[in-house]
Amino acid sequence: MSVRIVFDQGVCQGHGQCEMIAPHSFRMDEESGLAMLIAEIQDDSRKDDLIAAMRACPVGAIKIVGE
Amino acid sequence: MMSIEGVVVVGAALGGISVAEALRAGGYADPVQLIDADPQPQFDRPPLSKQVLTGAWSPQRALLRTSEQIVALGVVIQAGRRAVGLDRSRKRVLLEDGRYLSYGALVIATGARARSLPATNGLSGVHVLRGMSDALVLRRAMQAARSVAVIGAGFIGTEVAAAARGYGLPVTLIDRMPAFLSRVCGSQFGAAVARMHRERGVDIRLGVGIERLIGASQVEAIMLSDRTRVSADLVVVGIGAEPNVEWLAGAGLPLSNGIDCDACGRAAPDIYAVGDVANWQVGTGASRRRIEQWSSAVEQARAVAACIIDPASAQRYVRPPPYVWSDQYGVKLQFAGDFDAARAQEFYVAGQKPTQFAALYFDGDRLQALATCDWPGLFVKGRRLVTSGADRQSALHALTG
Repeated sequence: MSVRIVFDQGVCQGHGQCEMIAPHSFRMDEESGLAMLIAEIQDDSRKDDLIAAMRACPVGAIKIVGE
Repeated sequence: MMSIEGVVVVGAALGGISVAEALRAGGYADPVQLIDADPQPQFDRPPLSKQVLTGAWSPQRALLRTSEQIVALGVVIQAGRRAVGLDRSRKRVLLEDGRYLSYGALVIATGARARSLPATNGLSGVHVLRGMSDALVLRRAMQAARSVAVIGAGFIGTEVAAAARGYGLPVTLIDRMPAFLSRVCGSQFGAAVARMHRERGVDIRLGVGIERLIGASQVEAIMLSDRTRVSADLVVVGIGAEPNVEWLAGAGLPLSNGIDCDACGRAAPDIYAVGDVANWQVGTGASRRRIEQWSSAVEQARAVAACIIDPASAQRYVRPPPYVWSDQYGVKLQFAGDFDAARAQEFYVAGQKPTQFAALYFDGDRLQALATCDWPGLFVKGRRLVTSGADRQSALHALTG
């Protein structure tokens, strides 16, 4: 089982909570200060952290799809 | 095991809805009911003093959750139902209409209300900013005002001052403290924020109190404690918030400043608190703080939900350092870590442009917190170093070259 992450960098405001909570999937760019999705598909065992990262994004730039 | 009543959440704003979401994400399948005294839908608060106040956003865009999202979550929100008491022995919440709501676990998320100025003499033209209705009233008032006085140079005060300048209004910003944003940063960073406001035309009065408001029925001016007079037909008060705990009087819960709770939000067996109302345990000692921040409410909700589902697993995940932000004059201010004014040694850094600056806060040799303005790259690197507990030498080397 895996989950897919949909990230809209156009919405991202550089709050960086995603990198703090789900560093396996998100990395903040040191130039722009915006998040980058570094792993679009993750194992189901990461789902808790990914959902937490989605909730922790103040601008709703992250969606989690699939079971 | 949870009884059939499931979880009752009192308060359906960010903290409350986040607990419901974290419960469902964690596989909790029993009923989750939320009640809120406010008959209106809940709105996300950060945009209220920013995009909603400036008019960049419609109210709808700041809606906390759509009704479709709430339905999809499989929870029930009863708006307009006020909790007026708690019967812990029978595990039920007393509602204003005389009915009871039984719970297996109770989550208290009743938030806080804006503190009002003691001596307003019932004058009109004096506003606070807490909810959507406040924001819309204030936005209209700004469109009609001639001059604005903002009391309090915290986040609300500085964002309101910036918005008022955006409306072209003369603005006076007053604080009894000698510095801006003194709860989240040191004096040098605060002074740089003050300078940014001054350069955009804000008249700043620090270290002075409010003597009284002047006016017949509508406010006309403020008399300050240094006997100067500030003309204003619109006064915005941003002097903090008070936790909504009055309904819990007599319930026997520890209420020193909001609801005293541990590091997973537990105030008593099967009773949890979250968000602005929660006096949350910080660190491992007896120290507690009401952390009135968006990110903190979401984090706390995750901890509470984990604890309700399985108390043994509650602390397994890593919590990021506290984070708060502000948008003013088109630039972003960002703060990370545990800023402790009593212990922090401030290291100020100026950037390439006037709006760009930062400060690092050390407790002894450890980097504890940082604040940046218009400097996202430095913030990204600095927060990683706060998270890893970098020492002074490596932090300064990495961040200032």
